[in-house]
Amino acid sequence: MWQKEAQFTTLVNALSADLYRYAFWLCRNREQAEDLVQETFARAWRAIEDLRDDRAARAWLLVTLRREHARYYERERPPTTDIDPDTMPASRKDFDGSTEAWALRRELERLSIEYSEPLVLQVIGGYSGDEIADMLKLTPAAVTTRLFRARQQLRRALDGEADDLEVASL
Amino acid sequence: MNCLEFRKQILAAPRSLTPAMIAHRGECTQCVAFAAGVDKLESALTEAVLVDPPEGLANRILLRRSLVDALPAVVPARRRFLALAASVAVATTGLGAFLFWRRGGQEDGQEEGFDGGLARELVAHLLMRHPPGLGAATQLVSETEVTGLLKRASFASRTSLGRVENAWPCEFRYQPIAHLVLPGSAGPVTALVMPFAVAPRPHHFAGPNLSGVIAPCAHGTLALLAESDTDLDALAARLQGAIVSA
Repeated sequence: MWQKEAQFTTLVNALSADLYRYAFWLCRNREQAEDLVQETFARAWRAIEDLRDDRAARAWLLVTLRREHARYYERERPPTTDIDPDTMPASRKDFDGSTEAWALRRELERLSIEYSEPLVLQVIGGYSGDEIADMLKLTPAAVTTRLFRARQQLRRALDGEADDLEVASL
Repeated sequence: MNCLEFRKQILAAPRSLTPAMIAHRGECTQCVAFAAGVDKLESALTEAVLVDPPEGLANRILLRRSLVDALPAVVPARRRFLALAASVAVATTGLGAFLFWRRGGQEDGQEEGFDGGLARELVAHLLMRHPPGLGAATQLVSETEVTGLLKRASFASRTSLGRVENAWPCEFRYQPIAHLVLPGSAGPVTALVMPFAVAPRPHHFAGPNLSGVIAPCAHGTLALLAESDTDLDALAARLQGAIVSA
């Protein structure tokens, strides 16, 4: 039993923060994000025997959280927080609150879920396009397109219309 | 590789440059500048995405697990004192509690209609999200606000709930519930009103400096938690009489 406890504690300490970030960008609501993480780890406890490999555990948790979110979304369209980028805490204390950072967060919030989800998985989880495709049940080509469009939209927000010309004119 | 391919690929995976992309970047001055811009964006994006998790998140996850695991799966067959439920150390708040689960019923065995799993989750939710005294204030909440909160949770009030010192919307199992803080006979009482049927009759839980009751209320459930020896049964009875299904 203590081994199970220790394994679970290690898992929670190692992955709860990233799981919360993924949940937050999925639902854009702090309370709901924590609920999703709680539910996900409750399921993880029941399946802890199968989560020995760290990378596999991470993927399992992300996919489980995604299912939990979908389950919630099926029941009701949840309220989303109108995030104020000025008050959104960054994990690094030296994060600059410049106009660029503000605009980026605002634009990240505005991205549709189909674009933001693979982007967040890639940035937070470090997953490849193939891995994200597997997690989201998409083709690798679809993931590539979504990642490309997500970043293009973010660049547009930061750099203005000139950036559109950079890719579109080629 | 041409410039279009390079730019599409680098926007899709800025941290995974293939040998062909590296070669193109080495020979195309325009794409060098483009790649630098993407790299700058990626650094900013990484910072933007990494929002801080709420303080104590890991501890609350571990607490919930220990509570849910430790509380009895069924109500054991005894009359007065039925189960030692959990010993919990909450690192963030220093709250340590032994919970004792008691039941008012007479018959032995698991009570029909009692959802032990839901009750355990509810107690964990109460302790983690609504510690006794949280939100106690001198400022009163208007009856209109209370009515609105109850309505959101599919309830209405037949008569006034009396003095309500604070109130918030909350969620439990993804459904809206009402969180109220009312004055008890010996301190503030946290009250949750939720559209779940948990138990057909009141169930009490208690520990050092903590006492609570889960009771049926209209079509759902009322849960009360207090830090002191407040008479929760009287308050529960009053609220049960005042709250009806919407």
